[in-house]
Amino acid sequence: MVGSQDTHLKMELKKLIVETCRKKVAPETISDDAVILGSDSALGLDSLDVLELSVALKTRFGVRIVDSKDALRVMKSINALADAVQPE
Amino acid sequence: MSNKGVNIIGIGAVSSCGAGVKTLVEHIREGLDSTSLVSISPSIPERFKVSFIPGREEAVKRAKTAEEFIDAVILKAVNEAMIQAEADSKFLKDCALIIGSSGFILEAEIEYRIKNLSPKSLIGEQKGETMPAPLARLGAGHIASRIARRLGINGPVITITTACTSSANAMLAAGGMIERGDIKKAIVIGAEFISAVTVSGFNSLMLLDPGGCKPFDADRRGIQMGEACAAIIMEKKEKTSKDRYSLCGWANLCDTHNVVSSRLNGASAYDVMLKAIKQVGIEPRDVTAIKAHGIATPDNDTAEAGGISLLFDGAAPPFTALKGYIGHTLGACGAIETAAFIGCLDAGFIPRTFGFSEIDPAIGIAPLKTHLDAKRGYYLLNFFGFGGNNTSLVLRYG
Amino acid sequence: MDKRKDPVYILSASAVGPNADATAAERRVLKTDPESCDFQDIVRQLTMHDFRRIGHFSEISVTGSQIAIRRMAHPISPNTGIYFSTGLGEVKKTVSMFEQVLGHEEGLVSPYSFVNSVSSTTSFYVAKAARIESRNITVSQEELSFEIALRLAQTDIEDGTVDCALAGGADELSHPRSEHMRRIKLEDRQIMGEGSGWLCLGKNSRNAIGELLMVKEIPAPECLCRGNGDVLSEWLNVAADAISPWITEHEKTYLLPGFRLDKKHIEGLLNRLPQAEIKNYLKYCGCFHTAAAFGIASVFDQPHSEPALYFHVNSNLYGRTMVVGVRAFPAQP
Repeated sequence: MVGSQDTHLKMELKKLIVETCRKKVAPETISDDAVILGSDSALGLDSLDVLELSVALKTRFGVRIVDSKDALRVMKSINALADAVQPE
Repeated sequence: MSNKGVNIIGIGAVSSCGAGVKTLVEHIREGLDSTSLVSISPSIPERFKVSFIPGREEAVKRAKTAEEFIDAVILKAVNEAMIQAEADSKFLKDCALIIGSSGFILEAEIEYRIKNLSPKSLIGEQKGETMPAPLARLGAGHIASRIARRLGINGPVITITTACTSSANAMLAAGGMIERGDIKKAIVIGAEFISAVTVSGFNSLMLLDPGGCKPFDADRRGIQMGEACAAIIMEKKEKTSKDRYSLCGWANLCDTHNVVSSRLNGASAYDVMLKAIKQVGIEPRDVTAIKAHGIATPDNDTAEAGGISLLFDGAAPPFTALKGYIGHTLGACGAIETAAFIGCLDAGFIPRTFGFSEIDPAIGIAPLKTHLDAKRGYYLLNFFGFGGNNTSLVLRYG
Repeated sequence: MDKRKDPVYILSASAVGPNADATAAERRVLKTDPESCDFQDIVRQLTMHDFRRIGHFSEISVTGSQIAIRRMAHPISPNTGIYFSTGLGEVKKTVSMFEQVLGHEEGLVSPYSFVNSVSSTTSFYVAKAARIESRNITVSQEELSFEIALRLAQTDIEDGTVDCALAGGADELSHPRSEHMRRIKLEDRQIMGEGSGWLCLGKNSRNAIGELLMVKEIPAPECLCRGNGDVLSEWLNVAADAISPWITEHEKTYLLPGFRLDKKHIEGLLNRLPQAEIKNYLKYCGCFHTAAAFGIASVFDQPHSEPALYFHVNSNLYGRTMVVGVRAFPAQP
């Protein structure tokens, strides 16, 4: 099933983000469609976090993020990220 | 003309162009590409243009100790500078030695590979004990101690590790110590050797351009890794016969905006350049040309160009960047780019920016596309680094 | 004695040990190699900035520098240079980078690890926490790193390059000991340590807690070059000669021996300087390259009722020795 429909996958992604970026946030409080990048966003992740997550995603899920434009597209929200990890 | 500062009386260099300042200047004059295309990691399919010191891959493989390779390169640059300065072992005795490097990770890497590939064949291993090795992180200072001992230097020994501004700050520290009278002379060394770990690190930050760097270009994508070693001998301004080049001003500031990039509006670049020229007592209009840092990442070149535009109020002097010729040599760039620039001035020209072809409309100013005739005057040399560490030096020629 | 320039005063000091101890009451004598403490919560309390990504080494450094700043009687000047020093820098992050890149499965390096291992990163975080954007230098010269950084700070204040200076040193340890001994050679009897020490310096004597008297490299014994003669005796003479001109009748004098001095150095110095007493700080922080920073800063752990002189002496494995002298002022009523 497509990633954004997979509740289990989305929780795994939330835990990965919190752990990787060392945020003091409970994963279950992160909403699936909220913006996660940018200082105004729920998680306030910046470009260095995006890079760290890119490496974590590659290692854990084999998702390859080519450049920063790609990263911004893929990490728009948990739903977008889940779809990139599990397109079907 | 200012009477401040310290004289530069000898320079030596080893870079991707080969050994010697003369070779380096010829490569720059002719616009020769000294890069090699290499694979930087088994997990990264692309190959990257990097500026290796010629013969280094063989030398690194052959070296029984990391020291063998690293010291050979450093001493080559030092010897060339000493010949130009007419310096002998007596000269060195009360000289200071100041090394700038972001660290000698290659040394640890060579040791690591030697240990992992053949743990039983370490030199000096007896009764199952392994020889203590320099480490993965890295008492960077032990290299300076070792080199000082080999050269018979009894003056102060200092290693400065501020990432890409390391050897620029080493020059700044030496200048200050000589001007204050703490020491009469110093050998400043900038040394940096490409390591798999460092290249991997830059790649993980998506800061590399596999095709080589294009400073200030509309199509610039990132850094070209390089390695080099340069030695610059400085002494107190006493004799007038050797004062063709002097380091007459310097400034170092820390921009706390972001650990990997500078303020995009150019304010940090502006601040440090202004402080350096104020120290000399000159105005922006007195600057003949600028040797920019120009690492060719989208953000850093924008920031630097922004600073230049701000400082010179729309009337920027000629500016140029050297990293297309020798790569970004990180901690060594202060010394090697100063040596290269002085070498070019000596040969009669201000070098163009290799790798630049098209102006970026968002920046609005372009570096040199052709060499210019060298002129007597003040030259601003910029070096900006990770951790917001920014340094500008003022070189007086003539 | 050196020609005196305008005095450089010590405006505050902080010494943070391996147990996150920062005051006299918190100091504990180390019986064995300590484990690293978690400084995340401490850093969070000390600074408003988001420092979640920084490594342990940077955490120790930010903690020490922030405590020193908070102990100042007045706000820190914007023209305060930061003179940071470390022998080994961010050991653990660099080791993990090596494992990531050169390990059995040669893989991608973590951007956080890489950025944390860069030599200018820690002094960046120190500056960011302090909101200072002035001169910022990091010295890495093994056992003499802090002394050299302190000397650069002193001379920059003396000639007006900066108004004030935040001079500090920090190092972290790593386990197992056998691995760490490849980085810092210690004797079996020596405990490895970590921590940081900081001095805020300036020209204004108002509210100063002490004075920086001298930072000096003493010449190596000439007989070392000749290859004959009594190296120890010559060393002791030169070291004592550097210290004795400062000693007065009405000030207690203490020696702070660094971790490369052994029993014969220490006893020999005491013989030549009978007025001096030993203050052993290494038992609280363990041995690390910038332990001198901890040692010198820790003399200000408690207010003094009378002025006192402290001389820190340490050598490196290449036979170079540096002496740092400070005077502690009696506490203001």
